Amino acid sequence: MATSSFGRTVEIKDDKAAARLIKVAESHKPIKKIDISKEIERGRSFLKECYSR
Amino acid sequence: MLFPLRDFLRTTKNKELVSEELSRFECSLDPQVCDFLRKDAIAYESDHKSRTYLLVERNDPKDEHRTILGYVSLALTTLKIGDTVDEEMRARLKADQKANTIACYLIGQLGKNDLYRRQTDGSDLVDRAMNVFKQGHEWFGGRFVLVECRDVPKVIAFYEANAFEYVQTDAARELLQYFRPLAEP
Repeated sequence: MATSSFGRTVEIKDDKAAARLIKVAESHKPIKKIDISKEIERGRSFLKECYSR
Repeated sequence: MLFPLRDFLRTTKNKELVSEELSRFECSLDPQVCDFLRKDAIAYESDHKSRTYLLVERNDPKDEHRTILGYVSLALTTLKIGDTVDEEMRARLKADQKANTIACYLIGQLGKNDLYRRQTDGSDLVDRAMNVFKQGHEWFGGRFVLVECRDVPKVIAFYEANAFEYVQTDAARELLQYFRPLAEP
């Protein structure tokens, strides 16, 4: 990771990189499901408990 | 549980307090991870450049401090297909025809807190980031998740284990660019 990554446009420079990206696009990488809304809601309730005094 | 930094700021209405909590984050493996959270994350949030999510352990609400196990900072980014890339490949990538661009997401920073290193796994942070992106992907699109990292075997192994694939190197910035798909083929 790099802070310099924020706000940049990344350019796919050549055919080699494009071919690798096509391979990525055509691959199937399942995402482990997490109920993110629920988790954020729990965090929000906890924050209120901590700071609404 | 997950605290969006935005919620932390809204609930406390106290930037200094939040800043003090973030300043307790330690990451000796990569000082930039620590510096970003301590110095930039709040400003990036206010300027809508990124959204930071803190992985926090539930402790006694009366405790003075929160236990930040790790964090991840996410953003939007654009991928441009270079002019020299073959027409057929361009078509297969389904880039926008006029601008030659693809909408993507970025994991800009990700790190665990040294103080609680054993209480969480970096993959927990990647999984949460991917679920946040997946929600965005369902609502308004976006094809890939990008992460840029230094050429450090441990870091590379981590991203490869988390289903990111190497695409190219930004030689000028000495950063490797890894991608993971959001859309199913």
